[in-house]
Amino acid sequence: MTETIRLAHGSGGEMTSRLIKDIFYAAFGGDARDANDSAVLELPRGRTAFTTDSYVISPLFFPGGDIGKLAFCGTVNDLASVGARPIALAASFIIEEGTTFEDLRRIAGSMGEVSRETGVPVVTGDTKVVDKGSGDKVFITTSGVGSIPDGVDYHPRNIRPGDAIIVTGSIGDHGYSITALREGIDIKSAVTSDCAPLHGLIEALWPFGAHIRAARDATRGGVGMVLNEWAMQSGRGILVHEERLPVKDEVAGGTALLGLEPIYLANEGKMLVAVSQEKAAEVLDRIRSHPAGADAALIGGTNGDKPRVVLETAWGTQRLVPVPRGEILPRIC
Amino acid sequence: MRYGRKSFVDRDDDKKYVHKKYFRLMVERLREISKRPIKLMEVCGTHTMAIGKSGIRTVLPAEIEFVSGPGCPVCVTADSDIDAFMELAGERRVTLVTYGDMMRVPGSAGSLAELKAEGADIRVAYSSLEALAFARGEPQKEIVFLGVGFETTAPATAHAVKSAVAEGLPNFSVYNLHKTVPLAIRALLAGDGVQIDGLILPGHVSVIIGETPYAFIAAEFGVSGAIAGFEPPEIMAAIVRLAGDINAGKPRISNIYTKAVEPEGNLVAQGMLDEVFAPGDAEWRGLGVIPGSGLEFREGFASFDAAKRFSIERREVRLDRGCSCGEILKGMIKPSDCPLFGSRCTPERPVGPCMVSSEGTCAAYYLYNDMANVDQPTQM
Amino acid sequence: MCLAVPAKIVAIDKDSFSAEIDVMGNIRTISVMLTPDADLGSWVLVHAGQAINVVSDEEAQASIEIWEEILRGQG
Repeated sequence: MTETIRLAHGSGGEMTSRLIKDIFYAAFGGDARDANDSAVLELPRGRTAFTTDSYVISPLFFPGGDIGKLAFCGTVNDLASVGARPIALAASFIIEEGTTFEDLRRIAGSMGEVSRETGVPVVTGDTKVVDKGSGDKVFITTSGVGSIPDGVDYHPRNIRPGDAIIVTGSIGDHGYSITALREGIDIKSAVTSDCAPLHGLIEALWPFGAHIRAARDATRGGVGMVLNEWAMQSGRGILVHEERLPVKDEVAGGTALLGLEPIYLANEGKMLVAVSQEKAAEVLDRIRSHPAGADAALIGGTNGDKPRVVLETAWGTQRLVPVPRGEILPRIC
Repeated sequence: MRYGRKSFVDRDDDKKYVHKKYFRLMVERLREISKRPIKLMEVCGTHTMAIGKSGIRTVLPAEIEFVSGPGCPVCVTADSDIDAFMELAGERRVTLVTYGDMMRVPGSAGSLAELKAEGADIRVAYSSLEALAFARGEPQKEIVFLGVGFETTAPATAHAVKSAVAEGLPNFSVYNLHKTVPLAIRALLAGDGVQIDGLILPGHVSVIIGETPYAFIAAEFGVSGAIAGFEPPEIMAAIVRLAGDINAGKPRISNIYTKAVEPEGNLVAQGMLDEVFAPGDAEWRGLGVIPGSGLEFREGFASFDAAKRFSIERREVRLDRGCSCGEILKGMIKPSDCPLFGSRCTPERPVGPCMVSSEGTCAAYYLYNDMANVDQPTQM
Repeated sequence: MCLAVPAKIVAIDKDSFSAEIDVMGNIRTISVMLTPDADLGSWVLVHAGQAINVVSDEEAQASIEIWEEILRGQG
């Protein structure tokens, strides 16, 4: 077995079959004898959620996960954001020639592991190999289908005056650990990515029906981005309290050191949930009783009609939380 | 895990409570003593951002006006200098190592970030020592460290250069754009720009240079100054002190940041600066050339001067972007007075350095100042 | 221009002017060349990889005293 992926591995011949068998079937289960050009699913009646995302991150491996786990959880969480139970995923891989089998096996293995943990299968996929220099080792595109039960409708347009906003746990963990790693900044920190599937947590909220207005995972741009999206999409103002934002000590210290802000850093295992004032306390309890939501906090709610996000600082003053801009770089000024 | 934003004052909950109490007291005190319109300038870009982020403006009496000064090393870097280091990074194929702050500032031919996207070897570092490490580890590459910043940051560059000398590192050099603050303040006050009643003086520059370099501000210009830290109660304390001095007509320089600033400053750092650098002329965006306000390598360190090593010629360039960055840096106009502000020039699509910089006046204004238009001042 | 963070020194090698600081669990190597008085356990202000000053608890307390002065309109 060659140690690295060659162009021939993507050409559709014997080497491709072997690659798929040894790496992808091994990771995701399934048998080449059952394979067909499409997976065939029987979906429950009612609304079906359908999502897709591409993952091109570098580095491929980081504390707490890798691109495979990220891709899997990212798509599962996008389904969860609309209240869907994930049914199946598709995973396409674009692999740069020269990537090691070892790396690819690890990545597929991570996906397989979380697939088994969640019971959500990867039922179809694709593999292509590109010239060296045409990609950043491995790009993954995952698509997912899920089923939304009746009575569940999560969308920012549902957000109304008086609603409360909950975050399911500490913010900025993923973004901070990646930034420190990516820039080669010499910081030894115990913070790891929070990459995790959240559909179980969301399903626990189904019984609250329309009291749950919206949910969204706070990935690129962090909590700050989602809040601004919600303000714009709902036409409502949002007020959050700095003191109530859950931030790990290490993330607070490290971001201060690098001139970053936790509210804008990516999370890969945290959701924002907008809920009616009436049920806010109960929903918070329910989220906290789920392992992925142990550190959940009620951080604020809607406030006024100017679609913008306002932060009440720890000092009792107020300021805007604008849409985050551009690449987040560490700074000295 | 604890909740909330951490800072020095949050090391324990008692301290945090105390500091919040003082913040409130300062706000009340200011409301008591504030009589007439006064114009304060915060010199330092980090103060501009701290003031914006803390929401202090929403609790200030309306008659206290803030203008921002030229204390943003990115913003005051002249176009000629930007083009020069862009040439180094682009055509000359050196490995340029820079603080993150400088990546997006645009010159005639774009920014370092754009150059990097095109394949140039440009790296972001948090400290000058990281650049040194690159040089040690990659002897085949020419590592050029972009030395930008004021007296707070220049010692780090001096340290790196001294280490390079001691180790005989052949592939390390510095593109030196360091500047000093007091002469810029003098140029500002002496110029026919805006009338300023009081200055909030840069806290961490002062850690290095101490109190005495600012004496002329009160003595010669009758303007009060207060050296302030960056936490909201520290900034408020400085504002209250300045308001009191201005109302009493008694200009003086106060050090409100004694926990970090010694009257004589950091003598070791000053010694290091003096050993490596000598005053030279420097061009500041908006203020023009201010003689003696730059830090040039002394002869003994000239071989580490990247401009000399690579024979980089600094060509006179003054880009006409149509933006008013120069006047904004002098506090003469507000960012919202610039014709491009918020329309053609936004943080996502910045035109001038004042919007690019993470602590640029325009960026701070854009991000935080909408709150100043809030209907009611914050109730505390 | 001056983003600096207070950090505690948890390891130090005075001969090489090198120290490790702890900012709430983040360990980072910095230079203490500018702060010869810094020692194990000192709190320092860190800017761009350099400790620029030692901050003591007494000095922090002094802040409160200055604030009191300012509030009283004295000093």
